[in-house]
Amino acid sequence: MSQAQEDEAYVLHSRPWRETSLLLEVITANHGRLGLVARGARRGKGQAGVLQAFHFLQLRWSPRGELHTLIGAEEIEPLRLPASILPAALYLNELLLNLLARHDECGPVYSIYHHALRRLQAAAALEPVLRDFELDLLDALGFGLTLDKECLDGAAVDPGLWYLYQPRQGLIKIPETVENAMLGHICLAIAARDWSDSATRRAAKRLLRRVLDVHLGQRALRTRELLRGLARMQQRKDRASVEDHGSEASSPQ
Amino acid sequence: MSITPLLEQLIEALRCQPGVGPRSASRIAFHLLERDRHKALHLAEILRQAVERLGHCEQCRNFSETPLCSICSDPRRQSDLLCVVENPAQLAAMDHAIHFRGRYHVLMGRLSPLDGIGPEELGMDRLEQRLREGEIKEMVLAISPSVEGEVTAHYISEMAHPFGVRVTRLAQGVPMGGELESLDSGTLTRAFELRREY
Repeated sequence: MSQAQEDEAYVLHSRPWRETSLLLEVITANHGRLGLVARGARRGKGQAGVLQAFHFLQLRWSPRGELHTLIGAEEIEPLRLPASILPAALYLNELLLNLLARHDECGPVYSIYHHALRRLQAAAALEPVLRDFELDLLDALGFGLTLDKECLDGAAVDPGLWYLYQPRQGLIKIPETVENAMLGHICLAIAARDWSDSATRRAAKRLLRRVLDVHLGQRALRTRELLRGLARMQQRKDRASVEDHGSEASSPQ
Repeated sequence: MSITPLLEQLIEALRCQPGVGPRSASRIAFHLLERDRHKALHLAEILRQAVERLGHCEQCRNFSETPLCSICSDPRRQSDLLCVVENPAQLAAMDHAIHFRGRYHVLMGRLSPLDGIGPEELGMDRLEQRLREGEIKEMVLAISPSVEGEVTAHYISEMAHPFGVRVTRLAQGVPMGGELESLDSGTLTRAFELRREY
């Protein structure tokens, strides 16, 4: 039998498996994304409470084939996200589950994810965390976006001109605005991760959605749908509240 | 032993049950055919009837043979108190253990986008419709405290907001007979946060 391995990890997803077990998808610091079976975890004093999504754990497993067997799990530090943040945090997990295959080496992705969860826990504004995560994740997977130079001749982006981002290629200067076009100063703000302007945040959300959809192929993200539903309810709430200050009601994903 | 095509089909069909793999399926098939042909016919007949006649209650989505289930059509039940549960087993447990006298709404699952279960799959629009009808004053969320359970509870409480319904959730903490030192940190943290005057 192969030797047990150990690493720190986050649970991305946990689902019931057979009568009393759990099937876990985890992302580890040094072993990439793994599938683990936690035998008997749903029995009486099992570890189902610990083996929940977003829990930061020290895991031990015995490697075998596609699905490894979990031997031990201990919580390193409790990380509790408020219920209102969970849908957005699940969006991060769904992206990782769709863009990383089991056993993939995923280099810096673990620390990018770790960092994003810490920011969510610290109640940082949602949109910048999600946009930074998407940009960092694309970078780490080798699909990084260049938004300060044109893709054809490497010319610096002019803040006052119109550009179009072509997924898998890059920025192209265009004579006039078309659908999905962005002004140069917006491209530069996204490249600099300056999220102070709401126009930049909106453009970045649209842009990243387009780029991610290319890599996700036909797979529609179900967390987007959930976030949209919640955003609609929030919008309704805002409208109903007396101190309505015309806030933009769009989902953060 | 040689497996005839029909036997093979039976084993394959038995595997549709959760937790039944090829070995259990052949064990069940051999048992039914060798020892209990009579019961096997009975099982087949009941299964057919159940599939044909059991639908969902129009009001609470629980399994029912009639358009309205026995709880929803019981006039002695309080109609302003609604308990939201995940499945029929939880409904039975609640009804039995605490003699709950209100009505129920059975979600038949939890919001779990990563498993492809969204608001639509859980018929959230039906629950929203019940809230909109205006009779419900309090809604008790009896939903498991997992990540998916938290998301579900959050979604429902947001949905209830415009209707001015009081939303409560079952308390979480130390189980009866539970020993503190063997509790996981999440449960203990929650029990501490939700401590109350004694």
